[in-house]
Amino acid sequence: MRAIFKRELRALFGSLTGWGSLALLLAVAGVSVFIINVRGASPVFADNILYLALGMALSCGLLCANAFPAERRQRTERALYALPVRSGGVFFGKLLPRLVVVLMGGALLALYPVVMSLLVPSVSMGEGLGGVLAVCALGVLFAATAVCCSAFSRTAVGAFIAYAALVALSFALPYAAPRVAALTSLPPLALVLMPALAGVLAWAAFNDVLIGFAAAALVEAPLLLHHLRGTDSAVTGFLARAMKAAAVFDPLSLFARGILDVPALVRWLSMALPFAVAGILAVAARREGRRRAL
Amino acid sequence: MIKVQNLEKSYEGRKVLRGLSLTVQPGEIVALTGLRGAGKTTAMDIMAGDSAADSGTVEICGVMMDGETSRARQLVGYVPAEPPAPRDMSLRAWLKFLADARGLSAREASEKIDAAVRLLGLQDISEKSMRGLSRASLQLASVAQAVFFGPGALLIDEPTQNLDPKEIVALRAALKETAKERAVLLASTNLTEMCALCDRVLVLAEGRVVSEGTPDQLHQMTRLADTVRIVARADEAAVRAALSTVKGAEVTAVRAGAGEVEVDVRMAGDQREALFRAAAQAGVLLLELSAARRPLNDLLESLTSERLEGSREEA
Repeated sequence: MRAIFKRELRALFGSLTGWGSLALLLAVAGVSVFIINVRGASPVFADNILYLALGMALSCGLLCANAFPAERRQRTERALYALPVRSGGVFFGKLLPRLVVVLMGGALLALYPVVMSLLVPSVSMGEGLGGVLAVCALGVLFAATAVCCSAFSRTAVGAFIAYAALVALSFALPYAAPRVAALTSLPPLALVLMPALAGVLAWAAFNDVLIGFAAAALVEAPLLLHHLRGTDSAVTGFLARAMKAAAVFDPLSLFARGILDVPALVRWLSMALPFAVAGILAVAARREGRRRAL
Repeated sequence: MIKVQNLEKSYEGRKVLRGLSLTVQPGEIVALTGLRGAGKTTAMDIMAGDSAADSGTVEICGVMMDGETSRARQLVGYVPAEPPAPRDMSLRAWLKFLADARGLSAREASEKIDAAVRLLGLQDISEKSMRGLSRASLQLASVAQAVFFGPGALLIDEPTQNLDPKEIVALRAALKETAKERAVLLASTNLTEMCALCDRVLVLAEGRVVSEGTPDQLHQMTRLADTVRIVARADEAAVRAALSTVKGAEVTAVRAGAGEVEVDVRMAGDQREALFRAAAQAGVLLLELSAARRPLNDLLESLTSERLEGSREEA
């Protein structure tokens, strides 16, 4: 794993990928700070946190989507998979260098509240650093998700689309939750068309029928459950909790108010684990030659 | 050793491999030849562990590819028709990475890399970025990588494509050296080059071996039994007149130039002596008299079609 880690790190900083992702994150932070803190005359750095998180999401997508498709494009995939390294080693050899970039981005972001608090005494450095910590923890989740998508996907574009769809879904969930009652009145045709659309999109992104079916099933299950048992409080309660858990941007509002929400940090980091496991399984399947042309 | 038994593979309902079986011993260079679509690349992919067979077994140095894919893959050096091209890395850096990942010490890695680079004559390009290398250089670099990391077997798909004659000579020498310790299997459509490189040639058609032999045996098969080639120092009319005196001899092709004439004569049975005497009596100076041969690559096509027709009739 160490050899893969070193090679990836060198490749990230030997090309535009690593520097470009950092530049993008800093650019988003700079624009956000300029608009909110400088022009808006706000002394609260944590007000930027949602924009920083979105910047981190975009940056992670660009940083990670190409992790495995690049090997395919360069036809080095076989050499990589033939190495006497465990599948987890291959996956983390790809993920960890990207986390280094994410953490470097976090360290650079931390300079904003530090400098602001030195220049303007009314700026709370602690609150700002808490917000940066939240963005870093989200960055870990985003990077694991994006590398997982890239392990499944044939192309970087496909991986990025799948990753962007997951992030967008997570972002939209809090807005969709109040309208979940409308699911009970969905016409039967919608119960077929919506999963079909999700399945087709997933199939297009990953070029894999099984993943298409899985995506369709994931969309179909809550729709059908709510459609059939929407009046059952246990069902609605379960769906609400599931939507809340998947809405990763939601706890940012606490950080913006200066609260260090440790459970949220733990939740984000633990949510990265299933993506890591899925990514390792994808690598293992490819190594065994079962799913060569995912 | 590479041992393949009853390999079967279908793509979208079309059978690509139909019970392919072959064995390559260590120290042997074997060619798998056939026309396009014969199943060579599919077979190589399966033997390298890049693709799974529908049925049948692949054994590399006693390790089954189906049961222990990762271990078996580590024994095979595979050069696909499209060689790998890691961007932003030199060949030496790429080999160093592979050596590091395999846990080789820096000294051991350096010695092995030097040996692989020297074997293929890649000293001049080993420090250059692989992004800018020609396809031929990438092909040789890929062979160096496979030689470096394929301790049990070496598989090369289309080994001579993109290579110029000088590079083919270097590759040939490298393969001879490499084959001392491992089994080497090459796949190509070019039977002529494979006969120059290999100890044994297998002809593949529609997913099965339809013919097999040493290069010498294949050269013998190119001999046209009923045709003799004569090269004489005389004009065409004199040669024709001399040959017309031999009963049953028919001139099928004439090539004249620089005071010499080359004639293909078809006849029933072996009449070389009669031809010689006829030419001598007519005062035609014979420079050569030999059995006519067809090009080796034509043999591939005829072998394929003959055997397939035969097997269809049997079916």
